[in-house]
Amino acid sequence: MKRRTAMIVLDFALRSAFGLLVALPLAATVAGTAIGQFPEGDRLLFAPGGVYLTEVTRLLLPALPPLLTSSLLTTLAFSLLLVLPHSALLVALSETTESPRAAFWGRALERVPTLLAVTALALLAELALLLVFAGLAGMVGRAVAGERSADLAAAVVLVIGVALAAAVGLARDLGRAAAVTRDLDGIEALRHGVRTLAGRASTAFLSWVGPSLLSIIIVAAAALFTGVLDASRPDAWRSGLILVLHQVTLFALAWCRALWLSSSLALSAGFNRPS
Amino acid sequence: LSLRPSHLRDLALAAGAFVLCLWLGQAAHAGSPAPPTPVAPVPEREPGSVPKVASYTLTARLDAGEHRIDGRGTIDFLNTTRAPLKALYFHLYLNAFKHEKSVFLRSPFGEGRGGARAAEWGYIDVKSLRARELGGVDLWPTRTSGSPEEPDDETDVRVALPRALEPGARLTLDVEFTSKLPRVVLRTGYAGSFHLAGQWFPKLARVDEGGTHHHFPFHPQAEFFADYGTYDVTIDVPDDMIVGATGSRLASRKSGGRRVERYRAEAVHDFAFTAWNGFLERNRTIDGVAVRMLYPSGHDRNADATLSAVEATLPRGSKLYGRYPYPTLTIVHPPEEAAQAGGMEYPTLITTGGHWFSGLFGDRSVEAVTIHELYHQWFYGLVATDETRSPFLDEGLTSYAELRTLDVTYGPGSLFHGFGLELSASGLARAFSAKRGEDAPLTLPAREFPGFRALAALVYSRTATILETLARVYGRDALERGLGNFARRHRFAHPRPVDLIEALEGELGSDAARVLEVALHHRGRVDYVVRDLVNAKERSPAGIFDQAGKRETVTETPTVPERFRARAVVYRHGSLTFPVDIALVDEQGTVTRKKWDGVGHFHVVEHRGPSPIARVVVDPDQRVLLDDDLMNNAVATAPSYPFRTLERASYAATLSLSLLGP
Repeated sequence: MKRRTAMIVLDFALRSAFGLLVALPLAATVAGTAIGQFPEGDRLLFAPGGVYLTEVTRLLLPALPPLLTSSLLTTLAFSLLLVLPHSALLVALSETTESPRAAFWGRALERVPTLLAVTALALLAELALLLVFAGLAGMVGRAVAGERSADLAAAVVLVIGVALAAAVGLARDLGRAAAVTRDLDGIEALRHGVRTLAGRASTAFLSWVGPSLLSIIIVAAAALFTGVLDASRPDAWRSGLILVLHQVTLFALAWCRALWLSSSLALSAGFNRPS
Repeated sequence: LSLRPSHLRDLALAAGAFVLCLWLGQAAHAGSPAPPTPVAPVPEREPGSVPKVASYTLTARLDAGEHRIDGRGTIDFLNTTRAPLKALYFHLYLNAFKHEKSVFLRSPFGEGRGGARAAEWGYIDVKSLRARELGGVDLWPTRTSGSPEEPDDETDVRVALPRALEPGARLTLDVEFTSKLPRVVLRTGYAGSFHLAGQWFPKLARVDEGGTHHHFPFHPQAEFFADYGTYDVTIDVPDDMIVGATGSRLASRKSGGRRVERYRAEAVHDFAFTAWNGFLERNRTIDGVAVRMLYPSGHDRNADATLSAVEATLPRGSKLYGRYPYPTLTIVHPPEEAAQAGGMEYPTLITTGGHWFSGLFGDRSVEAVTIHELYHQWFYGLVATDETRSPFLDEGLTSYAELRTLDVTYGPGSLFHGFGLELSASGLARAFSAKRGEDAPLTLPAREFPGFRALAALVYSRTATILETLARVYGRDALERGLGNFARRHRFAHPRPVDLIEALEGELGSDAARVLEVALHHRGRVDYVVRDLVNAKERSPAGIFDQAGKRETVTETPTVPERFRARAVVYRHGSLTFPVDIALVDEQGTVTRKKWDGVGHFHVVEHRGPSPIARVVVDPDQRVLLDDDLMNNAVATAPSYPFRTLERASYAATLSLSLLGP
């Protein structure tokens, strides 16, 4: 139990740290615009009307595309690195009794290549699905008469595509769980994930939808409270509280993720192919 | 005691005088603390008093399948100039889409202001033009190009008159023509069964008081210019179509599968109509005007937003710039496939636009386009400036009025509100204005701008930002009074840029007028910069002093209690001069304000106080919205790090990692 909590905290801490590293170049670039020379500092960027936000964006416009490209690449690189704490979290969640530390980390490290393979294959499938459905949505949109009906029909097709991509995501998570609980290789793990999803679709969906909905509600509530706290106002405690609110939100998301991973491990361990 | 009639008269006089005294006292008491309100020093002309220079009585029969209009009728022209006229000039704007040798389609990308190419040819064929007073001979065969330097262009045509038309003389021209509408391009044309007929008839070029004809080939960056008159147009369309048009509908009847409607508008300088079998219709009376909204299905929310914007704008425009004098206003929201027809002004008819989901995510694009086009009823419709020669006069003033109304009506989120952000329309206009402020003088004719993007940033955004800056620096009420005077003085007339400067000078003063002139004509710009903030402790002078034959070495002695001297330099780059405030913030957070009249290239700010100055900010209230670079308006001894930005970006990045990562 202690290790599980520690791994959730590690997952949260590493994500936050990587997020901070991704954001640093942007903050440094904004610092270079001299916004910090003003008495209000970067509070001006959040002021109603957005005059300074527009101005900073205008001045940084030439620098933004390369900056965002490098941020995206860094994010991708960090997301690969996050496989290690993810593996450790899965191993910790799968243990009924805590194994010795060396054995635990050895097992977590050992599963990393398989988890990477499962992740990459699933990502490929998700992208392919989204591309196909985006094309289909365009075709449907053109075929349906009436501006609003056409857009709505296209949106329905897109939602189906997103739902299928989410299903692939579920199979991926179940496959990752299988890779840990059953020591399968990448393709076998993914197959097992698909079979588990197909065999226990409703249980898997119900186990996933709760934490997912909770995550969405938490993020939306955080956005709402951030707006209420209003970073453009001068009190320093507002910014402090927003920082705390966001970190609590991220921790809650890590906890929700762990809830679903526990369920996926249970599903994966309990599912055997029907004979 | 006998009461004579004279006693009664005296009593009545005394009572009247007493009541008048009371009223005056009340008015003086109530009036003294109230802020100045816009007044109308110039009487407002009514449409009935406007000379009918070019009037059209036409019948237009729409072939909805061929997208063709067969037109016939009369054009009444009155020579109100001081000169005899030997010729008349006609604009055949639809010929811009006739072939690729037209000035319009020879533009670098074959595109107009809206950015669309002509997807199908359009044209006007005039079959005959006969002047009754000149023997009824068909004058059209004798026509020549109105712009010999553009021999291939057919949008500007000169028709010589067999004998000169003397000042005050009238000419009645019988005309017959066919117009083929292109697929919607530049706010005219068809898409499916939707038709918007703009510039669909042979239109007389404006003639000024000296007898000069203002004619030109139709350029993609330019718009129009015409004389006032009465338009009486009978529109004949398939009977399943709903028609919207300039003016008031006088009659409507159906027969033989056709719908025939007659519209009439007095004191206007153009006429447009739309016909479509997909329109939904809403009618509402706003500020005494019968407002008719035509829109496609699925756009009910847009119709609500549009009408709510009209409710905010129509009374405001009437109050500030003179009463909207027409009984009707028609608003057309074109269907998606005809989006190019949106965002255009015609007298008493405007077109708007937007997706059915506009506004769902916090944007106010529908409101913005509605307010913009509606203000054109003043700055284009009632004040008919030359849109080709001085496009900033109609688009710039309209943009200012639009942005101000958006800000007043919707607050700081007038452009976008959502996701914790509030962006104002005037803030975005300022950014466009700053980006391209020096590209070209604002007063260039439309066709001389290097491209439409430059024209849009300068004519729309920069003019609006200049006016907004004048309002913030010299007073909003004064600016609005100046614009109101301009609009009222030149109501139903054709003023020039100098008239605008004169009207604003009357309310804002000569300094503001000079600034306006430089900003408009000479690419005037300004950038305030603060640099070189230094602090030093105050102390007694030290050194070797020879006094009364004695040499004395004095060491420095700090003042008690400790005091500091601060010095910073505020620079003014550019040719525009505005008075500005300078805020000095000491380390205890105490703010001291100083003023600089803005004259000179720089201004040294000095301060003495108990605490060092930590920051200096020029124009802390953002009055000079025209300032090219806001980020150099402050200097600090120890700049702060943008922790809020780091925190927000880091949170967003971590959320992205949750989406992308395992």
